[in-house]
Amino acid sequence: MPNNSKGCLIAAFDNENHIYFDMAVMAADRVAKHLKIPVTIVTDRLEGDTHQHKRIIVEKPGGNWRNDGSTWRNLIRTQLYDLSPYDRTLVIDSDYFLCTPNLLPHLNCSRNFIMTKQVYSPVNRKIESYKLGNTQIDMYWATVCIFSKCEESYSIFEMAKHVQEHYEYYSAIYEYRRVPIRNDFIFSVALHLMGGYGMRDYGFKSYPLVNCDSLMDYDKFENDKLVYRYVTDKIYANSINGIDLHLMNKDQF
Amino acid sequence: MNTEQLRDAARVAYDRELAKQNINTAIESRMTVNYAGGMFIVTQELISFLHSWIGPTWHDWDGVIYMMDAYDVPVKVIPYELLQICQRRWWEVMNEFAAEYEEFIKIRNAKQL
Repeated sequence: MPNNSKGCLIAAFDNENHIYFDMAVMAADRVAKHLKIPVTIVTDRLEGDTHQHKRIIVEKPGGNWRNDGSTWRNLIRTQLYDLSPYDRTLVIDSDYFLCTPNLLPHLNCSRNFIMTKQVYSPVNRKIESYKLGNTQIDMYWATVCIFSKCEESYSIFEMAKHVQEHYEYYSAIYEYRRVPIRNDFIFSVALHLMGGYGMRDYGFKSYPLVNCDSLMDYDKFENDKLVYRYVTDKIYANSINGIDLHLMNKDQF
Repeated sequence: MNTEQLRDAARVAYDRELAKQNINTAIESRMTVNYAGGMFIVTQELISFLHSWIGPTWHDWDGVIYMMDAYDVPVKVIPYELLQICQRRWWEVMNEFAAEYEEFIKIRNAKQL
């Protein structure tokens, strides 16, 4: 393993409804284009073109119920510390599409562990931080995360594995929904515990997660610009560009 | 476009304030720089602060100070060097913003998106 190596990991496990592998390759192409770092796709797929990106083959993680009736194979995030071949790793979801090099300053800084916390909605124009469950601890979004191979990050991932293993117990303690098992919740609890019960902020600074969620209909996505529609008091259309996008409506690709 | 598509397009509204906020959010995300292993958010305050250390003539003071970066990590800073980096980024991003703003003010309705 080269010293001071930086790279990106994207996990992709297909299910009945979506081919996450293809999405991951698209997302990986964008990482290589905008950040110019190597990308490794963590998957169970032996076939399929990864373009120039590397691939780590692992066993498909256990199924997880999702409200669209499909099986969600998302429970590998806590193992990515062990799987990463890089000294400093960027982890993104396969539906996170980079449109800028904005992550580079965060990737090049010395903070050991960072995860997205602030969310920008291109519908209600607010930058918000959410709270988790009835205990109202800070909610982190595991969609984008940067970590260095170090004691602190190792401990956070080990704690996350523990929370995942005892998810039902922690969901009762922190009073949030038990199903589906979400990485966002796992890491929110792990970071709350590891950060001295919420004393430490692990969130990105000046980098909100732009969630393009079910409130939006994508009209087109070209040249890093998303044109979308949404309904509030009437039907609106707008566009957003020059920022990285979390395109959550996979059916609309 | 047929009549139905035209009618549909006419029904769609455009929120200029939201569009402006989308641009502002994108611009703010770009206002970050790396220096000596730290990450700094470029603001008018930071630029003024760095200027205050340098003195009235450029290079008057070339000492070293410690500053907290955006992630609360103390970083050893030569104010003159960081100022140059911040000014460059400010110039790049704000020029882009001005160009984008020119395009933005031309958009009067959703059909022009």
